[in-house]
Amino acid sequence: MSGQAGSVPDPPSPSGSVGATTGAGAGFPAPGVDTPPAPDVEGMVGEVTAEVENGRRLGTYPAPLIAALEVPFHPDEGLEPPEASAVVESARPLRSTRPVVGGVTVFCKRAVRRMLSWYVAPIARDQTRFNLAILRELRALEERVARLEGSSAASAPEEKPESPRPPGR
Amino acid sequence: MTAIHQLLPVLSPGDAIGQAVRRMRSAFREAGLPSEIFADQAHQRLQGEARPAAELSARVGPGDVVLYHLSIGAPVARLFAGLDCRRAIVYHNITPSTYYRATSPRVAGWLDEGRRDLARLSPAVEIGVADSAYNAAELRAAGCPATMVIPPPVDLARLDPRPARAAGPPRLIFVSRLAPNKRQEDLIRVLAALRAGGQPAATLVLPGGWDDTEAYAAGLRRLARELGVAGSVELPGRRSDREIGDLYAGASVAVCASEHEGFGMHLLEAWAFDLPVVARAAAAVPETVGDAAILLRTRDPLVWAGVVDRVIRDGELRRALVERGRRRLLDFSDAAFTQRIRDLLERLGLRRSAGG
Repeated sequence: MSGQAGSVPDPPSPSGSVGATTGAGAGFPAPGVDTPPAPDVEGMVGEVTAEVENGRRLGTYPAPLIAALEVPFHPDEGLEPPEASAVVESARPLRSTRPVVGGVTVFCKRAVRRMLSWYVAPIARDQTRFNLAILRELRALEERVARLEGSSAASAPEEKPESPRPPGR
Repeated sequence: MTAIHQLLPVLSPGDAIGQAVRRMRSAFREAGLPSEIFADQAHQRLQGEARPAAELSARVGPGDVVLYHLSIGAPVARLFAGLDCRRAIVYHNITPSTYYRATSPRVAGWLDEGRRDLARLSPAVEIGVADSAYNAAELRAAGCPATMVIPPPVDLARLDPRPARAAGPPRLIFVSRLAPNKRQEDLIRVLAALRAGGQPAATLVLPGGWDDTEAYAAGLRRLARELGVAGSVELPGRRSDREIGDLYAGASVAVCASEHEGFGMHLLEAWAFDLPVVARAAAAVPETVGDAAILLRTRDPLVWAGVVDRVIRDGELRRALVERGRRRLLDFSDAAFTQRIRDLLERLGLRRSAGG
């Protein structure tokens, strides 16, 4: 199998490029001279792009599809999902903008934190492990329900995307 | 004898950095140099592999070399900065924090810290080793006096590679942690367009952990529901190597819409399973794939869907891409990695010690 480490033959001229390595491909050996003929990928991509542009211009694509594909993606919108607070931190970044005193304060806090870390950190880790385990189970159930809903929807004539929400909501 | 040690914040068994660190140690030892791994934390399974980072200062002399693996902000960067020895950075890239501010502010803080470490440490080291020329350019921009590109070692055997044979409807795959810079939401849109067009039964599987990007993962699920494809998108979470191998083996096309990628190990994994790759031409991806993938500059899901549909239907195009993927993999062979490590040692003036 070509992908197995240790079973692949040596490349023609392996070498790391030292110093000013610029541009794509720098540092990696070029493919050998017996590389198979290149498929006309650019031509194919150009053809598909033109087809899509024409389709958009002529209104070939169903309007609900175009609208659905433009649904904005806002992973942070709405209520904070439980995952956002599942990981319990025992050490948070310590910062202060106050000159001189700020540095001393941060140093002291850091020292106290370090002294107590043997006690606090394992508790935080245990709680995080528990939170993530619960969430994994919850999401597995959620996906199972989605799959079941998807398979029952597949027996329906057509799966229609929900109406897109207006931008900014 | 001169030693060459490695330092990193966390040694994990599953990630690319953990694999690279252990493979580099083997290469250094094979070259006859004493070499140890020092880490702030080591995964339970790797407890015997790493020594506590705090021991490092006492273990190195002025002639020894310490390589610091930089990928995120960590307290050990200060330890590295204060070492009385020769120093080098191995830079795995740091994702811009802007991707994480909305969904994972905690991660954004670590990434900002990492960028500060990059700026502080780069001018102070002898050489910076980068996974890609893209990463090397960032090192130089940060003031690193010399750089060298060493693509990470590739251990694909752990996945048990075999030619993918998708049974049933087309199945798209992208294996990576769920993260905003990976743009998994774009792939969900591509699937929706593909299903609405020529491949109504197509599915998408996105294996990858979301321990620090829970809000983003929840957003992906919401988007899939909104696009009416929730039943066709799988987010199985972090999976074992064997399970990942099975997922690759059951896929039809590997897709990658990543906007920021320091190397892209998943691209090599896809080639090992004879999968054609369609990827976004962004960051280090074009450099990694060479001509062995279809690179798209647009994010338009309709164009992506059209191209993926062609790859699924056009056997000749598919075969050509698979063949090119196989050939491209040769550039990342273990022997090539070993040679690059020898070059690094020569660059550091350690070949004489290595030869005894």
